[in-house]
Amino acid sequence: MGATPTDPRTFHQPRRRLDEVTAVAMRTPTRRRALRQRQADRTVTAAQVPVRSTVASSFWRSASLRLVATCIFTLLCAALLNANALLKDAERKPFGPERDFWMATWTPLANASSVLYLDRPRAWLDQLTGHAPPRGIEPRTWVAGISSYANEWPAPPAKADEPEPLLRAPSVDDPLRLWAGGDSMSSAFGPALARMASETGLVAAAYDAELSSGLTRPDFFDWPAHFAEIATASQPEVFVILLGANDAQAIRAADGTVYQPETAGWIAEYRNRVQRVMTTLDAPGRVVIWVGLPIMETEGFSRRMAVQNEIYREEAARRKHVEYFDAWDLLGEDGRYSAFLDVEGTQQAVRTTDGVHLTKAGAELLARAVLQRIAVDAPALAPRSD
Amino acid sequence: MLFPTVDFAVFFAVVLAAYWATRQWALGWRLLLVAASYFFYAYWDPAFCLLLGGSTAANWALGEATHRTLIIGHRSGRTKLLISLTVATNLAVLGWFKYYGFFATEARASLSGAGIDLPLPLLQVALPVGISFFTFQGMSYVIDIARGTIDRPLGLLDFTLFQSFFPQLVAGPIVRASEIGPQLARPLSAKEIDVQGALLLILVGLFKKVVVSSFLATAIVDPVFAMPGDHSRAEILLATYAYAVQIFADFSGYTDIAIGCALLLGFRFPQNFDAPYRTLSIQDFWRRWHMTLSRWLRDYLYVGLGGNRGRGIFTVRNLLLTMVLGGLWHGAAWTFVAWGTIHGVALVAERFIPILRPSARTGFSSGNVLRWLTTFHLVAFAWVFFRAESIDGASAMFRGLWQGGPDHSLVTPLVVAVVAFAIASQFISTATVARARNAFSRLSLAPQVACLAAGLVLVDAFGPAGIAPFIYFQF
Repeated sequence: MGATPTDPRTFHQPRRRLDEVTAVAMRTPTRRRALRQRQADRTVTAAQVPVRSTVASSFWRSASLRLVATCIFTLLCAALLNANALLKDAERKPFGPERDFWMATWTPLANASSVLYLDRPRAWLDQLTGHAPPRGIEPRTWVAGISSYANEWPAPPAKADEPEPLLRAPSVDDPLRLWAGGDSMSSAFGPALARMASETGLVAAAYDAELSSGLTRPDFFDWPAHFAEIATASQPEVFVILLGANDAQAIRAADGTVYQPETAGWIAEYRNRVQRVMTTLDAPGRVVIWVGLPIMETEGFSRRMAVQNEIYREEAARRKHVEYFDAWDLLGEDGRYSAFLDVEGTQQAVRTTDGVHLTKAGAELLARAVLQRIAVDAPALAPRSD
Repeated sequence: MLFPTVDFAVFFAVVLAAYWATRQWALGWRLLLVAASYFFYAYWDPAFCLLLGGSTAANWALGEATHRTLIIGHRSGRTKLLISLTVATNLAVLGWFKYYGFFATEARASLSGAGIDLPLPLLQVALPVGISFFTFQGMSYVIDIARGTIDRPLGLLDFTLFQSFFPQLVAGPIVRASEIGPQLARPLSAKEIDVQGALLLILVGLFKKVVVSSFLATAIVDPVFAMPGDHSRAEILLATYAYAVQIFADFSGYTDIAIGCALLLGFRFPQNFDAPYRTLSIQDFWRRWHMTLSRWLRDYLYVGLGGNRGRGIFTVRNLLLTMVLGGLWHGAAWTFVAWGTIHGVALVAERFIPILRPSARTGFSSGNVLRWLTTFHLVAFAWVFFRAESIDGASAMFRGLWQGGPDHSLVTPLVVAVVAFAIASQFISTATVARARNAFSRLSLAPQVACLAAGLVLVDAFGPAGIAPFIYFQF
């Protein structure tokens, strides 16, 4: 049903329907009256003139438009109320066209939301739930938060030659405090190590895996601040860190320059950040085991991980209480990626199907090796039988 | 593409507008929905689209061939051959993608003990999302044709849409051609759609998934299941209850979003959950939990095996086999076998031990309270196998429940309140829920939109920063 293409009303109808929707949304009495009148008009017209319909005209005149408009209007209202959170999520995406697109989409909306005070309820909720942006770092000026990364660090002391244990002798009553964590690579490894270590009875273990985190994007998760917090709050004597799988993305230096992975600028900036973490944690009475990334299934990804491993290795070598632990060969086979490895006599899947993460068996393989490495500094932890 | 993301919101808004603009054009909207569904699926891995397309083409061709072998609606010898071929093909695909790795690892491990080195290569086969769902749907389509449940096979385009329709593609509900076919054929007007009701359903689903499920996972379930030996009895017990709530909130939340999205496109999906934790028997639990899977297993597996027509011993075998295979459907691991076995044994016990037989009386009585407690705990403890990474992990949970360990004060009033409220909410009568929904539908448009928008903001504010994938996607 509908007006003929020659009927001049056809051309007005789209605009009229939009008016009607606004009228309903605004609930203006006069407009509602007008709307009722128009509806009555249309019923009469439709009944009197049986005509051929076109796809487009029936869309504008049917309830479909109302349905679509309601849904989109609801989403738009939600987006307006939530604009700052959407913008914050977009900011966390890797630098690139996708991020630019979402930033360009949400920025005007966030501005509008702020002008209309529509961002207040969400901000209040964030304070209530503790999701408010971290202290001192404004959500959109995070670059200022990391400016101190570029500081120059004093030359580290040379490592002592004698292999004296760096950790005190733990006892059942006074166990060694161990913290294991990092990004999603640690999500299986952290609990595995914590479980194995606490099974010795001499270790009180904690773990923490923040998915999608790393050192490249402190705006997403601020590891340096988090490490400093853990170090003062629970004073772990052993830190086992495995992170970096998300770090091979564009990095923004303190001056605002964005560097792509594998460039000299990227390496320098990343090194700064590794230095900052290691310097925070490098303290007497403590051992930091920095676990390098294992070989990955794809070649390019492996290459970028190797670049990061070199940085960890070099920086660890310059600090007395930081050790680099190589997982590359342990979780590979003759320098090649292998999803299956011999674990205690049987072939088991050590990597998940994404070619990146560790399975439970893989995590346990790595945890056993790391625990043996910790035992060098705390001989009481050395396994008795094997 | 995950439902609770901005990407999906934008995708759905675009698809919805384009769909209703082309709804009058029979070919147009079908092509649009198929294209949208494949785009949705390709978000995980474009390569999986080939598998989905291949599975669709094969099942459609088998359906056509099966239809031709019917003689005045009756099965011939060739029909049976084609059914066997359909089942074999679908199970082969499912077996390869889902069970090969498990089988090869287990076979090699058990035979290497006997000194036999099996020449089975160990391969990691990536599990395509939702394969269990669309394979089951394809299989049931061909069997329905042979059984005469569907009079007329679907056209290729309609069948492609039936197999790939994005609201239910990756985690159900497992729909049937007899439900979707007539809906594809009938004329549809947007007037008959309760837009606000559908949006409310989506919002409730988002709340269950993003707020409740994620909160319980991080607050208690994940830490306790990761190191059961390192937690107190109270923590382990609460984590067990919390996981029962988490998996319900996660999966029924997903289903609510799926049903709501389908409603906005004018499709009605069958219900998948009906307050499963208020049940007084395991038999009743399976009529309320993942209902579309239960009826699939009943109609195509249990009945296929002979159901309860034979002697008692055959019924026992059929019940156990159905539940063990149903468990294995969820994943290739011994934990799922254990989970299915527990339910199978419980169903057998209810059938053959008179005192355990489900009672017809429902009201409040001491007998029913006892029945409820037993059933709920059986279900909740069976979930421990479902969640644990291995049989060892599950037994560590039970050992911890017996022995107890250090307390990490994870038993907070908030966690207890969320778990208690979630379980109590299952006893709210459907009439009350319907009244609440009607009250919402009677509001005028502006307050409705305001409520929905505010609800979305609440969900995002109380949800975690990242969205964990739905539990049921891995099945």
